[in-house]
Amino acid sequence: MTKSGTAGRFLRGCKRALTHWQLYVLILPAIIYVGIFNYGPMYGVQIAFRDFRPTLGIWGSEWVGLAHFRRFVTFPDFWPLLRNTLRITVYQLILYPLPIILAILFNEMRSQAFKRTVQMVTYAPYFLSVVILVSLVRLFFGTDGPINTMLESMGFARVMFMQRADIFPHLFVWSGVWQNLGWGSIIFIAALAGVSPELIEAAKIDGATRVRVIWHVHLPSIMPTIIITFILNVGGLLALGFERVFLMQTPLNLATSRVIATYVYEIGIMGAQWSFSASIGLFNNIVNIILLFIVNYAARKVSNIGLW
Amino acid sequence: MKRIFTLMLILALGLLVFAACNRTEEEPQPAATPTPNQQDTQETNEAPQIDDGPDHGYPAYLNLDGHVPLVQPGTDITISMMIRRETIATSDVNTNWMATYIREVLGVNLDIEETTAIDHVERRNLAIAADMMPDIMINQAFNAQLLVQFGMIEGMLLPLNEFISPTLTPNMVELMERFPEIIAMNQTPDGNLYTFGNILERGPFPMGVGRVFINERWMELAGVTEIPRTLDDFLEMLRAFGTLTPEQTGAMDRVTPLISANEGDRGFILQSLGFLSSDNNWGVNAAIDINTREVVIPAAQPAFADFIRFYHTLYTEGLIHADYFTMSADRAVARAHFAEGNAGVMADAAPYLSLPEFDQFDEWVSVMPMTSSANPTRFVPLSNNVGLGTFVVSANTQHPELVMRLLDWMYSPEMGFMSSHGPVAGSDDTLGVVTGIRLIDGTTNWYHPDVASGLFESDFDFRVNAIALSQETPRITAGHNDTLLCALGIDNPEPRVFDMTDGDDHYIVRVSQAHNGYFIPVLPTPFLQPHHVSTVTDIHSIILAHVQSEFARFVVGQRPIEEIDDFFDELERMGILELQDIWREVHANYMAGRTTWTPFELVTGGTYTFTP
Repeated sequence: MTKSGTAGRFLRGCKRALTHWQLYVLILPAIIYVGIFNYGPMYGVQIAFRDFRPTLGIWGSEWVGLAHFRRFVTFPDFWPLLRNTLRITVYQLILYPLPIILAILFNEMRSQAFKRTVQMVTYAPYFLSVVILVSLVRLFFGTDGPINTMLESMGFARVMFMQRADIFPHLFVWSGVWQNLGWGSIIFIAALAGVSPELIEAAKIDGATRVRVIWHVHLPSIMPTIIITFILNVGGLLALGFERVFLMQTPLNLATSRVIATYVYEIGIMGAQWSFSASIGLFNNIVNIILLFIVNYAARKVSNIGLW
Repeated sequence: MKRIFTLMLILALGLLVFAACNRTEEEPQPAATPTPNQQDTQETNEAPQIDDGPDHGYPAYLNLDGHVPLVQPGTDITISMMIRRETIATSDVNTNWMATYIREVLGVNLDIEETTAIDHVERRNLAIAADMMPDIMINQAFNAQLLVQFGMIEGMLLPLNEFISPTLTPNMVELMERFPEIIAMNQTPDGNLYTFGNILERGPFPMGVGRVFINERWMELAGVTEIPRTLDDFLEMLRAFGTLTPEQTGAMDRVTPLISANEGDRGFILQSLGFLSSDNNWGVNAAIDINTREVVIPAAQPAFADFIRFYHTLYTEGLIHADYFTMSADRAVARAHFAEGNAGVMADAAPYLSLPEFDQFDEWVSVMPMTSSANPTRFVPLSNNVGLGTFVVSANTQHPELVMRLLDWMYSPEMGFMSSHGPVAGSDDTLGVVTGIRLIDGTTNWYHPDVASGLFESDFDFRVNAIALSQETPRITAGHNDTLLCALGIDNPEPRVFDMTDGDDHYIVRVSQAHNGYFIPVLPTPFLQPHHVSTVTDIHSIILAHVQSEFARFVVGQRPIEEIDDFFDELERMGILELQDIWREVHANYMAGRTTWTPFELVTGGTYTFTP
């Protein structure tokens, strides 16, 4: 590619941009937002490679290279932290199809009144704050909570849900499902609304049952949406939400509830070891980015659908 | 189109990076990091202060003739502060009497940022990380490690000793002469004072660390004739409480012999097993083994196995609540149990906090220090009478002299009582903000008319929501009762008579009665050497999580008690002995540099006077 060719294309691009300047003005606030809040803070990531001292500032602090990363991977609790984090995120990933199934079920409902009611009920928990959600979980699953009272009335022994490390991942993941299932299905409901009625009609004329229509028409039609949201989910595999884990932690479930995110808070914010916690956070992000590339590559190979 | 978008993003990113780079131009240089050897050999008992003469060169805007006002008329200076408030605080702190007084009488504007018990560590650290410290931080839990890190190493804290002088800070100078512990407690190995500490009253009713209370009515119902003096007796008493029914006790829910609102019960049991410490609910902080006089980490000691077994017994026999390990996260739940009368033993700061009526808090007496099979010594840890890290001042403050003068005013004898009780009723000092404090007619006892009138629920509520600037304003409370009574017009005050119908007085007397004669001062917190900081943080973090998790599992039976030896092996592999060695070395270095501190000194309380 010649230099003049590139310059020419750039000039043509500028010309085109000037022609459609109104569109660029419209998108400008979003670009500024992303620039300030997503790209702007990135220069601070370098404290992961420095021994950050507030008085010297980010650029003035001593460069220590990968020292903090070495400290993290040789930290005795490194593997338990990673294992706990992966256990929960992989569990969440396995349940990724649930919003799709719910969206398909909504799509198949004939009673509009019932559909709207169920949608409202499933969306509602999304608007609860994390603190309220965890309080509800504690109340429901407490020793004297309704779940245990029900179990006891049915002749079962009471279960210490909040005090068992083996139950924590289930409680955490399913409380998340309860909160986000309805909201997460919206994007798929929207995608299903875009499926061509002619295709569905043609399938029915050919004798397809409802299940067949779903399998051969609905699912392939929303496959790009499914794959792209799946890739984005994998990209956030280690980015486990901190607040809910932290609030659900008890001394008895630490064996499974101590994850990378809570350790970053513990060591960085509470322990004032900013460089070390930044290196852990960066490690998290690098793993996520690598996974994102791998899954995107695989998806493109298999289905020709990808983020780029 | 795609390329244009990419180019714009790159351009925006470049601009942001450029802008960010330019922010670092005027950053101050930190103090040089002293080497470990330098710190170890520092002689730290000299009072560091300057001898200012008439040509002191202090700013002309200061009024050095007195503290009221602090500045010359027409001066317009704002001091920023980060303060921490009690959880019951609901008022705007700017309208509290002390903030109003500083603004209107002392002539200094305040820009106050509030923190709470829940968020103060997070907000303190974020302010430091952003190099945006306010002029003064009060009650933000600056421990010895942080004072070394941010004072000695980072140079972010003002060395107060450079501004302590007879002219500028006469109260501080006088206090340093009267209380040499101020230097012993607060001086970092570089010889500087980055904090000053509260000077606390130690009489007539001294109280030790650990507040656990027993219900006397339950004792009668269960046939327990005296307060337990050994751990075994304590267990037997809890078992006897466990046989009581809600009908007998009046409990609104099931009877639970022991409920804890603050995890202080574990600290109390560890004391009974012979570990002297002021803050050790999980047994992973340094303590003194009272019988060997060695610095130890309790979780690494054989007696910790007894600790685990004791709690396992409590849990399996239903003597603590089934939600014991989750309840600690929510103090309100525990206090609701107390209010419902479900517990016979409560671990909380004071009974009246959840039981405000006299006939409720009157039932509760304090536990006595106990012995155990592992510990024949009966003792109660007594906190140091000089606090650590009560406040720090930013090295970047534009008005260090004014800040020091303001703090010095807080250490005046009058502020010893006024920062808790407010001004004397009827005086100009009330500023119309509060009624103040006055004597009960014909007695030497005082009261707050604003509480008596029902405007505030209790003296504590009055202090937090009407008077105080912060949870524990820097001050001296030693002897403040006499100062207060003199201010109220009693020239030769008798010792204060405590009112047992008052919930606050009641618990103080009860606790002091139980503790008196068994006090042993805890050792001052030693300053960690900089080269130890990351090692201690790492090991402590791992061990704390492991002890919390495994202790709980042993207690509830998720892990067999027979595996306790394996648990100790696990802790050893995690480095608990290395941690213990570090603390031993640090303590030894610290004590070697002190001549004004006598460890293990037995202290007895004063004479009791109270109306039954």
